Amino acid sequence: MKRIYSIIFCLSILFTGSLSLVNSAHADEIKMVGVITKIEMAADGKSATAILKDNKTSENVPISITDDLTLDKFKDHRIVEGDEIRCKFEKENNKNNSKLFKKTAGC
Amino acid sequence: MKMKQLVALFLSASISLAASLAFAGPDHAEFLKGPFKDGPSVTKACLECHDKQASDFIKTPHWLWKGPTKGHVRGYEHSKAEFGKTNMLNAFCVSVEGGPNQEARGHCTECHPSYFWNSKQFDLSDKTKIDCLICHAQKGDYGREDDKITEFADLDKAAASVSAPTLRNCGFCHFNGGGDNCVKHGDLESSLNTADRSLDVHMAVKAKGGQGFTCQACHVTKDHRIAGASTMMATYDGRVFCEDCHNGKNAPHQKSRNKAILNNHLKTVACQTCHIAYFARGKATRMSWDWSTVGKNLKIPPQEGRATFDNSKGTYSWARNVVPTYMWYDGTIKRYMKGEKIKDPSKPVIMTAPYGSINEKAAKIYPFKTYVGKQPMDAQYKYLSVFQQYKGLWDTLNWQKSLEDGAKGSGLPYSGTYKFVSTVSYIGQHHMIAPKEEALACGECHMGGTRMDWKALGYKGDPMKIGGRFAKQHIRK
Ligand code: HEC
Ligand code: HEC
Ligand code: HEC
Ligand code: HEC
Ligand code: HEC
Ligand code: HEC
Ligand code: HEC
Repeated sequence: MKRIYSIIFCLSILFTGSLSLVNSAHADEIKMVGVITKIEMAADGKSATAILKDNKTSENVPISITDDLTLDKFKDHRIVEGDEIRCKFEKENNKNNSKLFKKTAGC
Repeated sequence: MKMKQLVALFLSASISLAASLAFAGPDHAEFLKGPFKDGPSVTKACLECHDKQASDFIKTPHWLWKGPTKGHVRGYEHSKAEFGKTNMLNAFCVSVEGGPNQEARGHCTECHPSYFWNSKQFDLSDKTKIDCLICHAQKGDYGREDDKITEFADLDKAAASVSAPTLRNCGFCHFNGGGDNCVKHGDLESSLNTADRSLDVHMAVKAKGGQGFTCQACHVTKDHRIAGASTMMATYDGRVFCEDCHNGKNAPHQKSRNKAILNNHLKTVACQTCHIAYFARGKATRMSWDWSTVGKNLKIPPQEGRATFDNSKGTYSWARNVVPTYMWYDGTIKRYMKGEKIKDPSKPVIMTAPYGSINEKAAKIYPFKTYVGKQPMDAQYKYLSVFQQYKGLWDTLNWQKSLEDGAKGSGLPYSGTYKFVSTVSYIGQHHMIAPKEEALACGECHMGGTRMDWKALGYKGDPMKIGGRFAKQHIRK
């Protein structure tokens, strides 16, 4: 009986361990689809904040963008306010850092 | 339980079932438990109860991307060939056929409801490859990206949420025609999802002063044949007219002070002409696309807040609240078809235009979006070229190579030299009907109003002075 308990114990540690591993690898990656209500570029052009209105909750969620590809699309207006976006972001230091920021339509 | 009780129970159960079916579609969460591993496994589940719908669907132009012209295209009335997106050219992304194995379809299939028609090889008789969800799913962020279901989609939720199509479902393809929101049509774009009465008196929800219409309220659908012809496409499954509803005791202008005079116009002036004073009233629409600047790294300022240049696609222009072009339309079109010789490349090639004239009784004056393009033609063989844009030009910026690969997929030989030619397309405007208060007033057309170019339309002058085309005293040009 003891052995069984210890096996269960070990297994459960393994299990929770693997869970927390998974969690830390994807530190709260959140997927969201929403429409851009506002884009604000930083003065130096190296970052931007876009407000997305979540299609599901209608909440306004600020997303921080730092990747050049997306920043370029903001700069030459290939992505504009009113566009619907599929976004993946991670919560870090009170910010929602964009990991993927793509229009639901368009080439 | 006694027999009577059983029967009563059965009766009441079936009545309540029937009632729930009659008033709203059944809750499919009961039928579709999942988990589903991919698109076709959802479709297989649908087929268990809806095999007929799938059999109907694979006969439609939405699936085949072609069909008989049914007299819609001038000059092809007696042709037995079938035409559609699968073998026609336009002035947007031009053709789906580019690439040795038609690889361009890998991108274009985003708007084909299949899993996935992404190359030459695809079995159009395989019902399990139909994407029912793109037209029917309401939840689970269902969507397509090139030849994939978006990784954002939750298939189980999507399958459980199916109902009759909403504006958003049809809009996934039709709001984004031409490759992006509001590109192709001036009157079909995502603003309709949240329209108020001032934008669209029919599609705005009741709470915002509209009628809460879905697309199929007008585009009546039977056995998956969605009614309505396009001014750009060759085939269709039945027509849609404003008069389908506004007739008999719902005929328009009955209480109007100008009833007689307005109705006197109806044989010549289409409803849309007076009730769509401007198009692109929501977002700006694309007015031109010049492919000849691909690779030129131009720096041009945006228009209406939207990009005017993309190095892999060329130059665009945008406009909002546009006064339409008015032309005669008898319901048929003149359409440039693949392989047709261009007689005079110094003039714009007419990609698509309404057919009709003042002399044809059945023709009326309708509003159009005039869209101009510039795209490659074969300099020697003198026809519009097919080129491979997706996984071709868009990555390589190499015209020569993408034209060669375009020829391989389309079967339209490429001579080795090309040049750019201008095109013009006249695209019908039927949506975003404005509130009655905004209908065109007499002075917009008559008494010096500039909307109607009377000479171009074939009148000697303002018909208010000289009489309409059916009036005895009117002398035609
Ligand atoms: C277990 C049987 C069953 C399955 C599986 C099933 N349905 Fe249905 N469905 C029904 C019944 C019953 C109705 C109501 C009668 C009718 O309209 O045919 C219905 C109605 C519908 C309607 C009309 C709803 C409305 O609001 O007008 C649509 C659309 C539909 N189904 C789509 C689907 C799709 C797509 C799938 C697969 C994802 C699916 N169904 C799977 C049984 C089923
Ligand atoms: C998956 C993309 C897609 C969806 C979703 C879609 N369509 Fe289409 N639709 C097309 C394409 C592509 C064509 C052009 C077909 C052709 O003629 O080759 C088309 C053509 C049409 C036409 C013109 C007639 C024709 O056959 O060319 C009408 C009208 C239309 N669609 C209405 C609708 C309505 C209403 C809905 C929603 C119930 C809808 N469509 C949903 C892609 C779509
Ligand atoms: C291009 C869009 C489109 C696709 C793809 C599509 N449907 Fe439909 N479907 C419609 C439209 C439009 C209606 C009519 C709804 C109405 O009249 O309100 C409809 C109606 C239905 C209905 C209600 C009963 C009937 O026959 O009218 C069922 C059930 C249904 N579809 C099932 C399916 C299934 C299953 C698939 C996939 C095999 C599918 N649909 C694919 C557009 C589509
Ligand atoms: C108030 C009625 C009405 C509603 C609602 C409506 N349409 Fe139409 N639509 C029309 C009419 C009328 C035509 C012209 C059809 C014809 O000539 O047969 C048309 C034409 C079209 C065409 C072809 C346009 C062209 O010339 O290329 C498409 C595509 C289309 N509609 C899609 C849609 C979609 C998608 C929706 C929903 C978002 C929708 N329609 C809602 C009335 C309507
Ligand atoms: C499916 C039926 C249907 C079709 C098709 C349809 N309508 Fe309507 N329309 C209605 C209904 C219902 C109303 C609201 C009652 C009314 O005002 O007659 C309405 C209202 C209107 C109004 C008055 C809106 C206001 O509140 O100021 C105008 C104008 C109008 N329609 C024009 C058109 C035109 C133009 C077309 C063709 C492109 C068209 N309708 C096609 C059903 C339809
Ligand atoms: C020559 C311009 C003109 C044409 C053509 C025209 N309308 Fe109108 N319509 C108006 C004006 C102006 C009003 C608003 C003022 C009024 O009622 O006197 C109006 C009002 C309406 C209304 C709301 C009031 C009512 O009587 O129900 C509807 C619905 C309507 N039109 C539908 C249509 C339809 C459908 C057609 C095509 C069969 C059409 N109209 C053709 C100019 C026109
Ligand atoms: C969209 C442009 C337009 C508007 C708005 C318009 N008309 Fe006309 N009108 C026309 C056209 C086109 C004709 C020619 C009709 C024909 O050839 O059958 C015409 C013809 C006429 C005629 C001559 C009719 C005949 O058969 O001899 C009169 C009178 C007239 N309009 C008065 C008016 C008045 C009054 C109004 C405002 C209530 C008005 N129109 C609004 C375009 C318009």
